[in-house]
Amino acid sequence: MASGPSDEELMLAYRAGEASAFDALYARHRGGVFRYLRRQAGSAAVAEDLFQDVWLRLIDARGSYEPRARFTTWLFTIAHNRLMDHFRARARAALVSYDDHPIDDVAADTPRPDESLARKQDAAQLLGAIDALPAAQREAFLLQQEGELSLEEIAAVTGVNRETAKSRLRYAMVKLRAEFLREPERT
Amino acid sequence: MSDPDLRDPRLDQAYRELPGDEPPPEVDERIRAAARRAVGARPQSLEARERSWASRWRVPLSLAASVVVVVTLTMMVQEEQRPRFEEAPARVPTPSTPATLEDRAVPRAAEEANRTDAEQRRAVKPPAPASSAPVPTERQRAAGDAAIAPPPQVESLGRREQRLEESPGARAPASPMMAPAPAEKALAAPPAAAPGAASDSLSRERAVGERPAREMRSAPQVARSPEDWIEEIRRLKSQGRDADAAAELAEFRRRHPDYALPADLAR
Repeated sequence: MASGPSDEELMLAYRAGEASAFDALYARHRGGVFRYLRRQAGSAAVAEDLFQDVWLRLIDARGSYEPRARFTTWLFTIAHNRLMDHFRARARAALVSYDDHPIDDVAADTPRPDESLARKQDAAQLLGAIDALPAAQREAFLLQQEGELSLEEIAAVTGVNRETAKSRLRYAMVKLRAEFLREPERT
Repeated sequence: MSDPDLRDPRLDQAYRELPGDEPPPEVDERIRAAARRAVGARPQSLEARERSWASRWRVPLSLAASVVVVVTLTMMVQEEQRPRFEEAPARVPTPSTPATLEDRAVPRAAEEANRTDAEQRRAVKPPAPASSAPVPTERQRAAGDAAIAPPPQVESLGRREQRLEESPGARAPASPMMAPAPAEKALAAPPAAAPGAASDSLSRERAVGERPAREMRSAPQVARSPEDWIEEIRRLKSQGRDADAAAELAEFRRRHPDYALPADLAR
């Protein structure tokens, strides 16, 4: 948990005109939002465009911000909506790209010479397992991991009820355990 | 979300160890710049922000401090001058002090008053009461407002001077700390010489020029001490102007009925 002002306080400060509050907020969440988009969109270039759009939307919407919920819920709702726009615009292509996202490309984007081969293999294996999830289940898992969102918050961001969100997340966990941890699938 | 079906610590751990994908720096900079533009701010470091705070408050704080100092000094000066003004004796010009506008105006006013007085005397009219203030003449008015104090203040100062003359105990010399301030000089402008300064006043009159005794008589009467007056009467007698001396002596007796005249004048 970050110390200092809360996300909500920073956003209110930015809404009031304090640019430095945005810098703090951005530093806290840039990685999570980018990875959420990157692992959903599949392409680094697309993810960068989406990422920039998400933050520009947040900047534009700052005047209407009210801390009725956690800031991260609001931020990932913007990201989810932008991603859905992207999927709708490029329906088939996006899904194909999403499905065909090669694990090796992801690893090649961030080479770590000092990493052991086993770790690289583990990372590639996990990323492959995540990539293999159906989009909705993957999104639920990424929101849990990158946004630290609760079940209710995942439901709010994705626009579904709590039970649907729960079901998606549970199926995602079962598949990842089976793929990454080699556990038999139990549903 | 503690449900083991919904969260697995092993997966959490493995996910945290994934390569940290992050946006490129140029994207970061574009977004931050857009955020700053939106609120009309420029990039600032913490140090620059602290500096701008200091520079923003430097001028108002300096002005406030200056105002406090000026107000305090003004109040102190006023406090210091008030008792001095109230207790200050009449101005005592030193011989080395050049004559001011007020000083020069005094003999002229005296001349005017003396002339009027002499004419009245010729018409056998009683002299004006000693307590009445001299009527300002055209010359006095021409001498400037600074040389002519408002009548009520002149009167009160004149009366005060007379009280000082009549009470020997009140003739204590003024301390240097009680010297009149310049602003008080204007109020002290009327011919109200201090008792101890009578000889200075006389010498100043002499320096202006030898004048008839009648001219010397009326205006300075108000401020002239009995000793000075007696000295003047003696001077008139020594000059052979007995009539003037007698008139002065009569006036002196009228003004100071209780004064013990010296033997040479008591006869």
